[in-house]
Amino acid sequence: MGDAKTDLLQGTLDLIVLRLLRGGPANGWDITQSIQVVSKGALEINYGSVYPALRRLEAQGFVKAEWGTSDNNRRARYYELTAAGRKQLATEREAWERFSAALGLILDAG
Amino acid sequence: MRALVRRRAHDAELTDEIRYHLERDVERRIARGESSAEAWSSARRQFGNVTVVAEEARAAARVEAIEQLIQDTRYAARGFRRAPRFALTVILTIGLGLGLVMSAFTIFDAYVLRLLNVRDPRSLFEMQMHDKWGRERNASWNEYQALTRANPAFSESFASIWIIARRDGEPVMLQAVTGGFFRMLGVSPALGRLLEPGDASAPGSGPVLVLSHRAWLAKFGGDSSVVGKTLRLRDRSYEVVGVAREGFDGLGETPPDVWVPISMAAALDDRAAASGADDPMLKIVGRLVPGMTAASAARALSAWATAATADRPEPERAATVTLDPRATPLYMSPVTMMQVSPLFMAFALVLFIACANVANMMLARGMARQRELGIRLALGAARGRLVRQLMTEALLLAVPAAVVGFGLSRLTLDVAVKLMFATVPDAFSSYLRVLPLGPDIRLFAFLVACAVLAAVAFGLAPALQTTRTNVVAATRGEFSAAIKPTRLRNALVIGQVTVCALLLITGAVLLRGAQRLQSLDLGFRSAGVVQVYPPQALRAQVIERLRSDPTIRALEASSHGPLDGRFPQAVVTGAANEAPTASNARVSPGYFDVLGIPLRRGRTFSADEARSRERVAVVSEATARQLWPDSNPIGEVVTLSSPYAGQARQRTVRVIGVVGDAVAGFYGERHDHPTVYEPGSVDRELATLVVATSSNGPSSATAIRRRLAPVDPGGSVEIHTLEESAAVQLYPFRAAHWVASALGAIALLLTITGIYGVMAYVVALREKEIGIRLALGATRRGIVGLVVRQSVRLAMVGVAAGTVLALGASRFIASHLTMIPAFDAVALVVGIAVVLVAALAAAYGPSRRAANVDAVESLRA
Repeated sequence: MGDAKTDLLQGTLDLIVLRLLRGGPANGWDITQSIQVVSKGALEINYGSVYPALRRLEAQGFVKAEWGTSDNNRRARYYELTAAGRKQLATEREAWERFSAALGLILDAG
Repeated sequence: MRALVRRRAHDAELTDEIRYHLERDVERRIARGESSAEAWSSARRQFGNVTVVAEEARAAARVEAIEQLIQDTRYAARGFRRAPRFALTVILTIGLGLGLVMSAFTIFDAYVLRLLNVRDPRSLFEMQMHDKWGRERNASWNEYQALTRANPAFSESFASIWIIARRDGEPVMLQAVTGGFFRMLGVSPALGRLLEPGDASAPGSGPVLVLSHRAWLAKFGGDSSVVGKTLRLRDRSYEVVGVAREGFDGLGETPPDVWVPISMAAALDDRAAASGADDPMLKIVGRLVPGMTAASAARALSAWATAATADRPEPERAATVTLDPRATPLYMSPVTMMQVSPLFMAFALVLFIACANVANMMLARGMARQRELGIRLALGAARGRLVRQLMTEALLLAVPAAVVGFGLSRLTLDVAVKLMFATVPDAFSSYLRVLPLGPDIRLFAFLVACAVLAAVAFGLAPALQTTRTNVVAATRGEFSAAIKPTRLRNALVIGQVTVCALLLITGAVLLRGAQRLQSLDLGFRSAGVVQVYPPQALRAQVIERLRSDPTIRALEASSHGPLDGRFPQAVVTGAANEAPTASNARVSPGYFDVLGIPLRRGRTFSADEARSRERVAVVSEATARQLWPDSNPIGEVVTLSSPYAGQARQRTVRVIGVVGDAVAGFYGERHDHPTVYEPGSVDRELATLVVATSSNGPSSATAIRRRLAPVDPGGSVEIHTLEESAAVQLYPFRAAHWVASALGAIALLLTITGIYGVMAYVVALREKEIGIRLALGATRRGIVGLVVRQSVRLAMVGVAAGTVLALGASRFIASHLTMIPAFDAVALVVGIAVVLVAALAAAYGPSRRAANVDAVESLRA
């Protein structure tokens, strides 16, 4: 809980959000709950940090946003992956795999 | 501005989003059993600092936008580095267009938009009285005094008289002002002191003057010891008490050289000397009382003026007062601005042609980059993002173009002003005073706005066109399939040709009009005639000197110079027919002879008639034709009266002669406008001397000046030849036609290069098709014909549209200038021919290249 945790997560948080949106459009609240559920509570973040990430992805053209009605009939902003976002997800996923493989090699060497 | 509004909208959205989130969280916690207060505080804690989050979210979008902009700019710069000729061509083309527009706007700004450098210029108004016919009337000294004592609208005011005196053969522009002038305007001195109320205490007192900063630099070389020196004007010495600060050029469009106290006006100007405290000589400028509108002030002053001038003779009484703003050197009402706007249109049109040229170039370049753009689109790039990038490229080119344009405008204005001084007839060039045309904030703002508009004009349409790829076709590798830029390309060419035709035809119309004016038969001889305007005090001596000069063949006089502006008009009654008005002047007996106006019937005045101002008259042929169509006018009697004064100054005259028609003071006057001449004597007060010399040209004027030097050491007599008067009257017209021709020539050049570029591109694009045609048996001449026909077809459409517009423009010009006919067939035909020939010439090169296509090579490629 603090700056260290948020810094680590900024780049990977974007990746997480992209991945979670692959399943379909969602609003900010839904995404934070998904993070809790899917990581089985292992990932603790300040919920608020999702919003700058969403704005950033929107500015980069990886997601697009629209106002819609939530399941409890209230107005909420829904985010959806774009084609560019899907491509970006694949690219980032690949990059992450390579990075963690390389890291593993280094840590396991000698 | 729009970004600000968008940001506020985004902020509101963000707040709503965050609120939704917190509400959901709180709802769940309450459902789990927490109290409302606990739920809110723990939800907030889990969320994190709301303000920080909001700021980060805002920053994220902002940073991203900036990063994208940097990315785009770097990408664009890289692209241009690889194609420097393209970038340079665009920059120079747009720079040319921007430079022209900037030049026109700089002049407009300096005269109409720039606020005067005085205290609170927006509250200053010139008070202009009008009589019941709407003619302008000045105020008298006594009336001004009454105004200062009880002014219903002004908190402070000053009165002035504009005087042109001559010194050493050159005019000096003076403004004689009341004491509070400088203090009211908040002007400070650069040297010494400025005029004060004490200087104008009594008429004839206070022979002091203040130099303007420019006059100080020009006539005294910026000598800092000028204070205390004396200047001789019209036989009196004036002490220089100070120099006004730099940047103060008076309140009008002509900057004065010198300010003197109003008490000295009589010593410097004959009319002022002849007038008393009740004669209308003064112009009044005042500062509106704060809170009062100009309209209500005008009403209050009208009431005041009607009462104050009640003692004047009836025709001279003031009926209304108008207030003209004196915040800028030249006041233009919105209506006037609209009337003047077509002039600036012409410059903007050249910029349009430049943009059309560049738009076609950008289009061609975009087509060449189709592969790259198509791939990016297929990979999911948003079309808007690509368009934004292409627009960044356009803006990146527009910036150096703006710099080029600015430099070009400074150069153009510099050259134009120098040219103007060089081409105005010598006798009048010293009258020219131009306001400083320096750059200021408004100019830069305008430049930026124009550059951005130009970038949008030449960048947007091509950007939209070239990103309109069919994505499916692109993924299959077929990139040229769906794009059809032909229509845009053709439209641009047609637009260019239209504007070019419009400018050329209009230029030709103006040119022919100028030629017509220049070759107009004035009805009198202008060669070998010099006009001399002596001040009252020197008149007798000047006449004596001239009479005793052997090189002077004749010395006559008239009340109005032959080309000094429209003669006053008189109403003629009592003839067989009625004439509306006739030009009216008093001339000495030998006037017609000196000017070579032929005597058709009867005789001219005798010396006795001239001396005694006998009630006789000589009329022009046109007058005789109109007033007595069937009979001999000699011996007829008519009554002449002023259209304004009514009964006063009415006189009955007997016609004793008929002379040929001649221009009555102004070129634009219709040739058959009636003219009536009455007798006057050289030795009495006829203002203008008209002198026939045995030599020609401006040297005859200098010879006379030298002859008069003994009696006029100070050079206060105005002398110039009649030819110079004629040239000066024609000058604005010729200047207008030069500018129009220059614009037309630039437009033509741009259009030719534009058509050439487009044709060359099309030929290169369709090389394969041409190869096929050749292989299938088409002749080379047929191919050439194909290319040329396409060019001509586009040109014809453009010419047709341009002709229609030009006809409209001609009608507009004709309604403002009498010498121009609304329909000038020759100008029309010549203009159209030039444009068509240009289109053919432009297509020539590409058509040759098309003809030389190697069929085999092109098919193999």
